[in-house]
Amino acid sequence: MIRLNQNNFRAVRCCLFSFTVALLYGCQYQQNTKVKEDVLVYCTEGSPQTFNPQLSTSGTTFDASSRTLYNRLVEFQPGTTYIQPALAQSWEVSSDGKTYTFDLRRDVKFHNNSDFQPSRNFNADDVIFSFERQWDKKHPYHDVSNLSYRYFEAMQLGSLIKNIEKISDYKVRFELTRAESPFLATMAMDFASILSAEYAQQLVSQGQPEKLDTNPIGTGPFQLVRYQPDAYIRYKAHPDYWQEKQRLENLVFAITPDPSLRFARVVAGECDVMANPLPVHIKASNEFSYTKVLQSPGLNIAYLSMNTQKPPFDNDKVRLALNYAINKDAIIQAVYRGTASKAKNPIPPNMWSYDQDTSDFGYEPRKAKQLLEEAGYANGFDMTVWTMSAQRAYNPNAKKMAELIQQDLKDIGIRLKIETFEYGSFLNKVREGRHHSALLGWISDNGDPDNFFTPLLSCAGTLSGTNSSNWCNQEFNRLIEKARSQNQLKNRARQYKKAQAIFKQQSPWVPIAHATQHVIINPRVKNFKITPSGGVYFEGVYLDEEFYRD
Amino acid sequence: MIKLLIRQSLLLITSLFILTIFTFSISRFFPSENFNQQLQIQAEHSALENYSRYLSQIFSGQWGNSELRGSDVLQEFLTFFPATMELATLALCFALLCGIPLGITAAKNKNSWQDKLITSSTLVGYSMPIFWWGMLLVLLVSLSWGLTPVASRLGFEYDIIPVTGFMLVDTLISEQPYAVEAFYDALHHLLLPSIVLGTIPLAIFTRVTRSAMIKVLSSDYIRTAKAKGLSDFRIIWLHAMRNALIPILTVVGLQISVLITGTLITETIFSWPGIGKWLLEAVYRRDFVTLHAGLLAISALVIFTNVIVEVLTYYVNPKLRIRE
Repeated sequence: MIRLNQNNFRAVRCCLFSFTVALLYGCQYQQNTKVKEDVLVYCTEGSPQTFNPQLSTSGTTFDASSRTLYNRLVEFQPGTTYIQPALAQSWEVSSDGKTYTFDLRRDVKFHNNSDFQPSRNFNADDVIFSFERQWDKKHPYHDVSNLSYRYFEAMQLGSLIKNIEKISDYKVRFELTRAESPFLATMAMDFASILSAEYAQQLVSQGQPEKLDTNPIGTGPFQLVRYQPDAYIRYKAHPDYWQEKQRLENLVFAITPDPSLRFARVVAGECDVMANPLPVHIKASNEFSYTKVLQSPGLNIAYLSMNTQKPPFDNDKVRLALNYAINKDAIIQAVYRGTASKAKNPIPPNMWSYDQDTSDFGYEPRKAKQLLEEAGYANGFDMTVWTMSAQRAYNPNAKKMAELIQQDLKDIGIRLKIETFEYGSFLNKVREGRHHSALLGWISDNGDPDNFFTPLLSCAGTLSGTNSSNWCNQEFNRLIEKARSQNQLKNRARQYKKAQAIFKQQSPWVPIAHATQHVIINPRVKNFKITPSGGVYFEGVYLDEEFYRD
Repeated sequence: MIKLLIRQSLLLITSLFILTIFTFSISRFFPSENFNQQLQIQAEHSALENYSRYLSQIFSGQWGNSELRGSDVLQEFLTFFPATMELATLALCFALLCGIPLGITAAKNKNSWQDKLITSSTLVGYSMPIFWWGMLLVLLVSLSWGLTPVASRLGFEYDIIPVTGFMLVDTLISEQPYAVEAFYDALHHLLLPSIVLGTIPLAIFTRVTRSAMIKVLSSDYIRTAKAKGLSDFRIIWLHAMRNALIPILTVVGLQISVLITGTLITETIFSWPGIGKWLLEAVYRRDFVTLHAGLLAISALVIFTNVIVEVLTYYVNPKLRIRE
């Protein structure tokens, strides 16, 4: 009996001991550095909605789909908003600006996996399929996946495109209903990615057409290996990529919604690139040698819009006075913690046609007061400003910004009242034009200046409600319309520069700041560029083999 | 025994029906057209008619497609479930393996310094916010000491094909050359989350074991056993344990739901791709189809495990058998 008892005890002790050993072994177990060398891990903020960029408007989805798996006819040059040839090696625009003929690249191969082995290279059929699915409501693929083509609709391509025609296997012609020079930039947007028509056909015959959007086949630099929702997306380099095969063999998107956790992972070396750091993280990561902060000005603007239909903002001098009265440096320090640049034009400085030469008004309260006196408001006036409660990429804290402006305006005798709204109702109310003034912002969709000027400052914008200042200047309007219908970048830039001069002179806004975008990376990541439109591209990125932390 | 099984399964079926009535009635308040459409609920029909349509949808496995992703929610639940299950099982093991010995130690040395130390630390463990505790451990163990990984189930250098969804199993059956390495890596990743998730159950198990043990140890038959000169070990593990196990088992059953709610937080801290994270995401995005499926599946699971624990208690406790 006693022996049994001891045996029992020994068994329990043995169990406990092996459990402890397992724990300790787990603790001491170090990551295998050898395997890790050819994997780049990107800590992203969320799961993609779909792998078909046509169906989404979210940047997270675009990062995981259009920017890794697909190509477009034309694309933005990395880190800029200039258009470069991609799947179209050249294009011609008719003299009236209504016909675009794309000459397609030969020998472009689609991804190849166990589900789909392409029998042909990329050609005009794929282009036509990709656009007709979104454009033609009777297209057999139009209603697959039950999601809408929001970007296609938002860019009004439905009414803009008159016809898409296949001229030969490698020539496609787009006919438009009107001349529209930003069309090319629109074709570089994520929703204009090219999908495989052959794959779509194969899926239809297999009776599972929705797989086109979940098991993607593209022409892009990487191909999908595996997707575990809310966990990770694993890619490998596309071996037959039409440019050259990527040096980076394996790419993993680690889905980590919590920003602090993302930061912890990049500090611990589990992530090589971290998306959307908070200002706190940027400051903290400067203390570590094994994290590096990359920054680039974003294609965005935050501004104070004054409703020119309501007094006293119908007076030019009052609007100018406000431009002199607001201390932008203080706002950038307090609201953006230094992660933004001062704005002086309605478009960001990294956008072509930006007028470098205009001088900013500067913070001169005395001059502002003088202007107010000239305008007949020597004792100041009451005004209200509307702000939103949500945090946006261009404005991390609109309420705080409004409070700072309130202090500045107090100095020149203007009594400012702040009203804060929830994001959705804020936008609706501003659209109705009931505001006195409002703190607003804009992020570029396609890098074209027209994407700022027409919605935000044109006379047409006053009708649709996107021109929140209700400012309609005939000369300004004529210039941007002229620029819109021209094709030469140089000519367009000239018109836009003239328009910016008018903008400055009339000042319907107080342009405040362009928020900078940040990414934290491990220094072993080479050739990584932040794109101005906010996306993450891994094409051409590689890992320095010499470098490894510890 | 058979009688019990029949009774319990009848209870299970009734509970599940009541559950469907509950989920059906609250789903009427979902402000989602899509949800009603997917579960065949139509305003023009009577509530009863709608309920029967709803039931047939549920029982045929048509729980609808996620409003966010468009994929089948039941399928999604099944892909996320193994991760949670793995974590919860390990947390439960951790809590039981540490909690019961701690409780016994405290009971054996009642009112000694060990007892006081154990009881007071269980009080701390029980009242500690799990979110704070998890963050603290990550900060100390992962970031300062670099002993464990910060998040997720497996290092991304290992490409393991999910077959069962249980990472410990999948790594071992994988044909990759680094299968065993990956297994240890998965274990390594499980360590911190299961300690965090298991902390509250550990505190509860320790306290319950202690009180149950104290009660049993003061009973007559133990005194007799002591008088006969049996060793402490034998008395506790062979004689006292079986009787002390009954309240412990009941508590284990109750802790299942605590574990499931705990995973909501733990999975967020460690970016663990399980049910908790899946549901939280659905809450953020107002994906009612997913929420409904999660609610139904988790409640059914809790009911089911409680029935199993009930049967186990019956098996352990002869008093219940004799009463029949």
